[in-house]
Amino acid sequence: MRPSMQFFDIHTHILPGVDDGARDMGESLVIMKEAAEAGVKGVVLTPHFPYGGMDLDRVAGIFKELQEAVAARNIGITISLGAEIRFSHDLPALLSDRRLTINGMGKHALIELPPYDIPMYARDVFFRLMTTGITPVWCHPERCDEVIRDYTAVKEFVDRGVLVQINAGSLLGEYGRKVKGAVKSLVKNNLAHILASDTHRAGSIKDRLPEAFHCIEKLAGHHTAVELSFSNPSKLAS
Amino acid sequence: MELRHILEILWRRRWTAIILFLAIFLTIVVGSLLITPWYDSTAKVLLRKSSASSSILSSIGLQSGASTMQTISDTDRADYLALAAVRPVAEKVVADLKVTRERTRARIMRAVPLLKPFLRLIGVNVESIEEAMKADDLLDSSVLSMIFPRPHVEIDQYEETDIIEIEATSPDPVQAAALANKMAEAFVVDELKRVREDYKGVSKFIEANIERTRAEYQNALKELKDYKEKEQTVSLDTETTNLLQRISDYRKQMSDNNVAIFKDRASISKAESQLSAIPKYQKTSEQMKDNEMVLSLKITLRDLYLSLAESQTKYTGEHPAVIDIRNKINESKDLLDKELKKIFGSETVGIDPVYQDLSVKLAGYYVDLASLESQNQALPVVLKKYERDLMTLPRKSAEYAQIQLSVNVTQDIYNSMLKYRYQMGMAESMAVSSIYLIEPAIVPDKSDSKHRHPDLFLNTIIAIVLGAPFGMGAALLMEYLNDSVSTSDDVKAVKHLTFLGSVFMLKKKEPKLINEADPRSPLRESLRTIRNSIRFATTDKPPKSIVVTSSVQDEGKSFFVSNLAIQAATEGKKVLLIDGDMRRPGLNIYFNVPKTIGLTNFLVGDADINSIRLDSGVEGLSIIPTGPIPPDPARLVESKKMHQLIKDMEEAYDLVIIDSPPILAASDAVIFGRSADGVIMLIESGKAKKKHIADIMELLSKAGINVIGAALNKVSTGRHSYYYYYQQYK
Repeated sequence: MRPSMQFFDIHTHILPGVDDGARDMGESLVIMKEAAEAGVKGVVLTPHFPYGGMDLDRVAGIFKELQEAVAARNIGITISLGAEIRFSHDLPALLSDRRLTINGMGKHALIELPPYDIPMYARDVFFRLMTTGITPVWCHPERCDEVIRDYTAVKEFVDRGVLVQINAGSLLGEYGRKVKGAVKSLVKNNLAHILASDTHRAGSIKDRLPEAFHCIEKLAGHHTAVELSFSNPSKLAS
Repeated sequence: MELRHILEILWRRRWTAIILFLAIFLTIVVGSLLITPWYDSTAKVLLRKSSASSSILSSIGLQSGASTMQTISDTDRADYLALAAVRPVAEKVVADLKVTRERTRARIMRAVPLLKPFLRLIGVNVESIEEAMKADDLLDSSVLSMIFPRPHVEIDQYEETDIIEIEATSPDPVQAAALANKMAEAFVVDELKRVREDYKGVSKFIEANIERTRAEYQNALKELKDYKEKEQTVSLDTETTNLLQRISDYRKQMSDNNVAIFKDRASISKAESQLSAIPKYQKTSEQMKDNEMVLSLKITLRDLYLSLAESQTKYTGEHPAVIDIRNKINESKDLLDKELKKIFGSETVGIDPVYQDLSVKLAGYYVDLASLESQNQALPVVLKKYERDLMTLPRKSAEYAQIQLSVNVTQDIYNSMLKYRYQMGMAESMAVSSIYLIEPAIVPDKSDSKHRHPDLFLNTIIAIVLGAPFGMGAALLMEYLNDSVSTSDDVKAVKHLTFLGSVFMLKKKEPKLINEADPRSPLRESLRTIRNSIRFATTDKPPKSIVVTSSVQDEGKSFFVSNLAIQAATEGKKVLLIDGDMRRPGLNIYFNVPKTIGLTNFLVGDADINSIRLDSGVEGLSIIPTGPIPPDPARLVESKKMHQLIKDMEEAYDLVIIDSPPILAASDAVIFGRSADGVIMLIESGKAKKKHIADIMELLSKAGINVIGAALNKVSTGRHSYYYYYQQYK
């Protein structure tokens, strides 16, 4: 691994026991260590929201525990809190609680759209969200059927300032050939801004991020790979 | 259609195109690899009528006017290849080389394992794998001879020359060359025999006449000698000498005519035998003889020659009377020629070039023959007149003149006979010398792609050239044939139609209604999206009454309206669902409501509104079922009472949803649509036709109905599993 390779992972499910990600503190710390070894400098913890009867106060408490544990073990990763928010027509109202935005800064929010078609009202909702000062980060659009059929559907959103986050797994073909084709088109056409792992379990982050880095390097050059892996995402959390 | 559009279609359907291309490509290429290769080898034979021999023949009157062509013509060659007995030649080759081929049966047995024991069992002689070829097989160039290569010979004219090309093919290159050479050799031998045959008849005639004329000449000489010894000198005056010369000329002409008549008859019988070899032409020569017009023209011609000879005794050749008769002779000849051609033309033989050529020649021979025969009929009459003049001379002079005349005539005839014989020999040897093998076939090299078939390289190119357009054509055809709406893109492509969302095909055991389904099930997610889409699609104020319809039956309309109503109710709205499908009501499948009471009871007047508004079992949702099915639903739908009901219910509820029959089945949806705020189309993915949807849109917009949008039902989940996606929430 080249020393220059570093990452800032803004889409993870490592916060223990809050969603379908890491099940306990032990697993969380294992993943954190793996991430550090892979060259990850910072991690944003983004549990699914809404998820069952998720309580944001409880989430904040668990985050604090994890933060202390990471600091105590000298893992060398800065962690911050966010959420992967399921798209709905009332996002602007929902996001009036700034704790759901990345690092609670009220600037960026990770938004998950339905995997089949882009809802006709998505433009409208995003527009209203941006009028409240929050930039939507559209996570893994390459897994949306409509984007798979025609990746240029993303362009309209990017032109309006929406940021696009792609999954490392998509580049590695973990979601199938068509998703891989779509994500490659996005990277080649400058329609992707951020690379993230979307990690749920231990043992997956270590090789995936570097491999995805090389993929982007091949498709769009070293500079772009560095931007997507570190420069761009690190700006969102600070 | 734009090029870009075509390229898009090709890209979308690239797998169809690629698969079809590969199917064609591989079939041709693999076929070329598997097929037994065969080789070709060519021999060339020159077949020429030399101009020298032609001119000699015509100079001695052996080649009549109609056939004085200098070299062999195209039709001659066509005649040649059609009539030249190719089959007898091939028979000779087959017999000489003992050509055999592998039986088709043997090839199939070789290709299909276990077939041999089976065939043996049912009594087929499996051991005989070779069979003798027949001449017809050798000349038959069918497709089968390529699929199952076997020895084969083809004869053709080499470009525009007098060269005949003999191309032999065989799975064995040595055999190919041997076949071509043997065929060429047999061909030359056969042709030479035929040429000699042609000359033989005339030669025989001349030989016989030479003997006779020589004897006559010798006799005449002897007689003259005897007379001179007896009578001393006799001198003839100029007039008598002229008379003798004239008689002598006419007699010689008669003799020449006889030779020419013989040649013409020989030519006619040859041409007729060629024609009669073709069964459909057999009638013609019979007709030729019996035609009255031909007979009378022949008589006219004879009379003309007679008067020509008579006037020639009085006038010189330039005298107008003589010229006039000559013209008349030519006219009669033309008429005769036309008449004869008409006889042939009346045959329904079409435009077969071989037949036409032969018939033109035959007509020419007949005209010549008629002309010669007429002359020979006229000449004796003229001769008799001169001979009478001779008789009027003094006895001594007359006797001497007679003897002198006979010497002159016999000498002339004898001389010309000798000349004919010499020229015949010349012509024959020239004809013979212009038929020979100019290029023997050589054994082709097995690796030479020029002579090895099939040529893999060439076939690969053919496979590409053939496969590519077929592949692309198939892709475009599939696109053309598939005119159903199956994806959200297809819905968006319909003018003025808003796409509201997709409902996925449910798995068998999945609950059909969202209130029974998992809160995070795709079904709920879909309906939530569609509800929001409806809200955003109508900018001003949310619709209070919605009609749901489809294009045809069984697109899942009842399923959809039930879930849409439940979804709205779970949002806290007070919702009324009316089953307006009075043709095939379906809501009772989803809700536990009776069939016996409902909308129709209210519309015909005997039920109270409160008695038909039923509790659905879902909080906030009431239902009006259809009730008994009326004989004429359209009348009820159109009724003022129905319209008023919708208006009243809009007041009483937050949202009224009306399930209406499919538009292509009945116009009810249009009538409901006039009373309600908007219409939603439910389209089953892959079922509804694009054209129908477009037509329906036009119909609704003409009726002034607000179409909120369309939802797609039963969308395939095959592409990638959304279940994976939702598992994250569990």
